[in-house]
Amino acid sequence: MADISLKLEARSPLNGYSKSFGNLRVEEVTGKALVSIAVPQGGNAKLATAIKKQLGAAWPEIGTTTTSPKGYQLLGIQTDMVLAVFDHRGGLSDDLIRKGLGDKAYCTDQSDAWVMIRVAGEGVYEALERICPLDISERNFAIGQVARTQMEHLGAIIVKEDKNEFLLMSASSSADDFLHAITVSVENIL
Amino acid sequence: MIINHPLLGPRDAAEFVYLGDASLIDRPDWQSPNAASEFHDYMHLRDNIAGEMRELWFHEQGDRSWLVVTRNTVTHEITNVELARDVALAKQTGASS
Repeated sequence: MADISLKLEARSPLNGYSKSFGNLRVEEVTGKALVSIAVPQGGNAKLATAIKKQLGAAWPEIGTTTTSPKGYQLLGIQTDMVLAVFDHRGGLSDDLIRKGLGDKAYCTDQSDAWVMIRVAGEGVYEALERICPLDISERNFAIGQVARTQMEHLGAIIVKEDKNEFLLMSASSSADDFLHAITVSVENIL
Repeated sequence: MIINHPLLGPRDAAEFVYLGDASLIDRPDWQSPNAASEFHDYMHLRDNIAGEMRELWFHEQGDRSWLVVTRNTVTHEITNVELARDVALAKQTGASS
């Protein structure tokens, strides 16, 4: 075999996009692993206990997030399923979770399926309310809340991380279109 | 149109997919002696109501739940929204007792 040495480098869906628009910053979040954890029928209590023990985080109620000192964030996006977000450590991320939870959960690695974009700064509500069908104003959507919806016809998960700071997730396959929807909306309020 | 989701609160109807008459929950028993005729009715016979109707909606761009929405097909007024899971479980409990 010919001696060909190739160095392969993983690229994120938006290649590490980061740009400021006045007070607003739009940037891709990279290096995160995403694993969905689903409950086998009737196993809610068992799984919640196992997750608390293994990941150190409580099972989130739907619409809320929980975090653990071990660096896991759990997003309660639907009944009987949560999405775990944590720093990617190489390899298959679902193996990491499955190791601790065994047959108490169905785990699926979704790291490559999503693009994550953080939009932060003053004016973030004005920028996002034009493309988001949900009321994400401060009085209705508190820090730590999560919702799954659609923005510009693209499925999206919205996490409120801080005052004036949102993490948006959408399919990596349409990452450019999702970013375009956001940046156009941001430019429109400048 | 806004659907008031029992778990998530008010959501735009654009997030949902419409299926149809909620009688689709009542799938006949395939082992029943009249299974063929029951499945015929289940598959093909629907009331086309001008007024209040119970319908199945799927929250595809949301929490992936099935809902039973009571909606007036003339005015679009929605008077009740339940999780289809709860409706089906309640029926099972009712049938077995």
